[in-house]
Amino acid sequence: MKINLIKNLCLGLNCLLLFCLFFKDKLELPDFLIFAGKLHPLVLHLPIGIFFIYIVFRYFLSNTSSDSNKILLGLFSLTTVISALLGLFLGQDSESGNLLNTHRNWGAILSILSYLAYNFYESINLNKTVSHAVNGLLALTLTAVGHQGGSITHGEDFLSISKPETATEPVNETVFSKVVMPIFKEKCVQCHNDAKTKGNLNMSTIAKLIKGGKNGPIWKAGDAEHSKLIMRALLPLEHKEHMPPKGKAQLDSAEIKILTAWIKEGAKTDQKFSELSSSSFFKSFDNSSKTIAKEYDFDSADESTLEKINTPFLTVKPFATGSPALVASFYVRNSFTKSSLENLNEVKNQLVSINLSKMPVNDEIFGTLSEFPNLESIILNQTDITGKGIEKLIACKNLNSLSLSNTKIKKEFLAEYLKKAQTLNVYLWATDLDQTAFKNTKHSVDFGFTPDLKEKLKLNTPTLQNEKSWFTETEKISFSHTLKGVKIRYSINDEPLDSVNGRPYKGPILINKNTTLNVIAEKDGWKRSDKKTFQFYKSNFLPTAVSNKTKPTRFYGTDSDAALSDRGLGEQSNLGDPRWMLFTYPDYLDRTFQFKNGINLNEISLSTLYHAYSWTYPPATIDVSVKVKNQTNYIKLATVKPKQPDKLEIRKPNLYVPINLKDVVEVRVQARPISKFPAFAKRKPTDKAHIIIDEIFFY
Amino acid sequence: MNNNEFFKSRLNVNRRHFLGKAAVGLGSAALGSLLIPDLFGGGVDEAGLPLGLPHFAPKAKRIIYLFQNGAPSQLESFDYKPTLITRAGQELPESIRGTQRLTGMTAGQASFPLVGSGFKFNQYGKSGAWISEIFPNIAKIADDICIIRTMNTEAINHDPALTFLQTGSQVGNRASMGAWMSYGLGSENKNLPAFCVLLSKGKGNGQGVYSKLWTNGFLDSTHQGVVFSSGEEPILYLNNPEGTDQKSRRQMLDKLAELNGIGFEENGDPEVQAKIAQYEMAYRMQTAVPELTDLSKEPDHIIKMYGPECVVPGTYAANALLARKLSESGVRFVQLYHQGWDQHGNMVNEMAGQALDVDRASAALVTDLKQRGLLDETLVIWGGEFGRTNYSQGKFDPTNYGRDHHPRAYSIWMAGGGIKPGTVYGETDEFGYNIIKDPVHIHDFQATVMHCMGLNHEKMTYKHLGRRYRLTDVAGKLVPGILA
Repeated sequence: MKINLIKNLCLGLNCLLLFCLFFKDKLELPDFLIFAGKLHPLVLHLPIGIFFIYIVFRYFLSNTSSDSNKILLGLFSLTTVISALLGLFLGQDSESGNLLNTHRNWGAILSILSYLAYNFYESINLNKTVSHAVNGLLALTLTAVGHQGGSITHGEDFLSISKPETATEPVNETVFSKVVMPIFKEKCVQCHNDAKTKGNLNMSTIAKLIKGGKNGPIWKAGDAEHSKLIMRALLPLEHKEHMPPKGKAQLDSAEIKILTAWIKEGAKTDQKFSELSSSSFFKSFDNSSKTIAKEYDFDSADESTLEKINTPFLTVKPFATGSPALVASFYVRNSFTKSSLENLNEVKNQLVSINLSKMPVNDEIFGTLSEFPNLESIILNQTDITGKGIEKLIACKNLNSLSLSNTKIKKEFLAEYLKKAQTLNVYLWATDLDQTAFKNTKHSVDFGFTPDLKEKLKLNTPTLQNEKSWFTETEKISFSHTLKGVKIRYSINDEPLDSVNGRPYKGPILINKNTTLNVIAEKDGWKRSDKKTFQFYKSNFLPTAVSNKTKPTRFYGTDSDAALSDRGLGEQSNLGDPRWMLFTYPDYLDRTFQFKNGINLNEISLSTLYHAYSWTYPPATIDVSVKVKNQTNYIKLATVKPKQPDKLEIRKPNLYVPINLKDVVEVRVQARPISKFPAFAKRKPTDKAHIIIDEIFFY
Repeated sequence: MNNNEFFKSRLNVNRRHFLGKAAVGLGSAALGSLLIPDLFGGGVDEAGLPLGLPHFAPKAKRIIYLFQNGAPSQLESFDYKPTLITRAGQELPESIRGTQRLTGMTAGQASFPLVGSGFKFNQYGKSGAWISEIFPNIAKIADDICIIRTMNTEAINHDPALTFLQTGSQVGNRASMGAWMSYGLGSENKNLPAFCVLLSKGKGNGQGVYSKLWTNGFLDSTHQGVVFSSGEEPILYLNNPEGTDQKSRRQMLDKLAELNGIGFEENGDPEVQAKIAQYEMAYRMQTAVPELTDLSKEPDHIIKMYGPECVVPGTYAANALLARKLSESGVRFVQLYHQGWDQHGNMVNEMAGQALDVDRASAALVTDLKQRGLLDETLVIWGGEFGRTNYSQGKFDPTNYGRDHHPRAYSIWMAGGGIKPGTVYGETDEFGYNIIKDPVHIHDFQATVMHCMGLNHEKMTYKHLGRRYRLTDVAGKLVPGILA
């Protein structure tokens, strides 16, 4: 590159720079220059780097020629003026602040200085002292300009070894400084600060915030809807006036809510949490956002003490990280020891909460507890106390919660103590105390759940004790109920079972054939339970072979040959259970079961399900044919048409088909799904019904 | 020992721990440690906060999560939309649905007829919360609970949605909420697991639950949820086998621990130590659990309170009562799942049945904790994984309708430690389809739950496979409006 070209460029650009600087208020930049301005942060690194090389060449590498040094200085000067110009363009696009102005001016000074140093390179280098002084001056100016630029982009306190500790004052902080200002700091101050004051708005301090921007104050105390701060935050993101601008971190809904509430409540900058009214939105921020534990003025216990007093049955832990307060809980009644309680004396000052629930402690405990002066919460639920000596708890001046539920606490002891005690939350559920006696007290007394004697609850149904619902010869069926004093009544097959009809259940019911049992439970003071129905299938014979004429519809369930004769029953709540076999109309079941040696067959039973909501209905027809030993023809028995349901429900229908033939060697069973849904099912004409079968029993 | 086997056992050493150990020997780590003072100090988490303690003053010490699995309809429970009744049968406006994707179950539907609740609603409590007639007992505790009507999630099917809610990710490889709490806050009662899971099933259309929902994920296996059996014995095989007394059991465990200790010396697998700790806990559980299930010392009317089913093992009511007992005994996180809330059809019938299962016991649990002075320190959460559509699935029939999955808005309620009682938070549009005020994303919910427990959701992290994981992943912000 020709030296002259650099020189001339430098001169020209410096002139342009001075010109622009002089008329900066009147400049109207074309778009491409605004864009070029954005390259300032990139280009500015060139002069810094080149200057560094220049110094290295000039002072540390003795064999470099004066020419190369001059070229470097020339390049330094050129890149400096370019960065300065670009910087000026960039600054034009944003509102000016003090720091930005200083940076701009000093950038220009540096540019001109570097140009002069380059232009008069030869003259300056005649004298070593002058040369050193000029280089020193350049270095200083460059550092200063660079630092100012850095402060604008990274913030003024960026270049300090550690951030200054901001003194926090936990007590009596203002709502503004704790809740509102942090939002501004995070989302606004980046563009509205001392250095960069967009829209002439500076949000870095309270005073400047109150002053507002070029359109005046940014809020109207008490009127959030007409406050610019809120209005502009709520504008659509694409809107020109939306704040923060598109591309910057946005206010989230919680933050907008906070700002709105703060303006509504008067936009006070000096209100303390202690002065808030109880209905204030900010009441909750006092504690919930506090990230440090409550302040205590006692020391923490040392770690070795804590380790010593902790056992598997007594947990003593700090309330929170950094808090000296300790919380103690005892567990497992059988493993309670007096000595672990005594050990707590070592941390008696630190203990703020103790849970002795269910422990075998009696009235002596009150003496022990009174030794712990800082207790705030005591839980004595389900212990053996009666309350004698409870007045000793007066010594626990900070107590605010006392749980005595499910104990034999006596009124005279408790009432006496409560008269003298500070305001407490007292829990007295399941005690013998009279609720009315504690009506007019300053304390908050909770008696918890008291059963409503008029309210009658429906009993749960009896529980079947037998594990399986099939048997071979005879079976004893037992029922039980989980509540004491419940009477069970039952009926067999279609016998009625209601408030008057039904057999009392006195012990296991003996059955010897396919049977349906209906049961209900009854107890004084309760509503009768729902009727529950159980099917018991007699299964004397298993077929020796099975052959299929039709395949099941594989929607879910099984297609295994053995599935219907393996005594395995599907789960009612799970139609996908692999023991169920499913046929969808017009598919149907057609199976032949063979009994090699011939059997005396009394009855067969089909275990199926009526599950209205899964389109599953009892079969429309069941056809059974039987082949007897030494005969070639099937005997066709009458077609069974099971009773179809009249409402939507889920239950097992009882499908027993009597046979009463001897020497049966083959049984063919055909079962077909209904072709049309009943009207109450409200299905489309194209919908198809299923049958679902898990077993066919033979006896 | 055969060389090959020995080599295998070396491979069993957890990579993370191996690297952790190897680092100590490296000279360069010494330099690094100058910059990170706590690098080799044990017992602190990633952010330098001690494990086992809340980061700041906690409001709640324990959580009981009454998970209503299958997604109970918000429109039949806590989000009252009379517009859906007046406009029943009309088409869901395109402008309301917007770009919402649908499940394969209704995406093919030619029309989306709006359908209103088949149940009546009334206002309860000081906040005037609208609650459906099928929850009469929850209505009675309206002043104790905070109803959030603007929960929203990203998932549209059960399994991803459940996994997202419980682990912070739709893909099931992360630690679940309870495991995080166990990791971050430790166990209160060393005789019981810190994280217990209780399962029950309603008669409604159900969806499965899987162990990945209570997994420890990348955390140590001691933080895994322990599933209680739904039979007579909540914890199987806890009793000593016949012929073994407590003393010989103790001796056996001591010897076993000794042998395991030798094993650990050899292979350094942290899972061995986890196992030793688990055996010890199981031993102590032998005395702790029978006390836990003992109802004899409680007044009889506890049964009236929770309903008669609370003495039938495996029912929701029994689990709710057991949850109270576990929580009272210091179990950090009790997770219930009640299945059967997936009403794609037969809404009126099934939903009423499901509500009957849980209404009385859920309300009783809150009252029960309160009357023992424990509600202040226990956080109770009731809700499902997403909501249900305002249009009918299948043919329109106002008496027998169903609703498909809807992730944009649904309702849950919370009560107790740290939660503002008697509040209704957030608002959906008159169609119950979109949120118009105060949305609560799953991660926001998780962040708020952690806040109640005294944990900063951004600081409780665990480094795994080169990345720091959080329950709230990379999102989540506190919801101050529901905090007391």
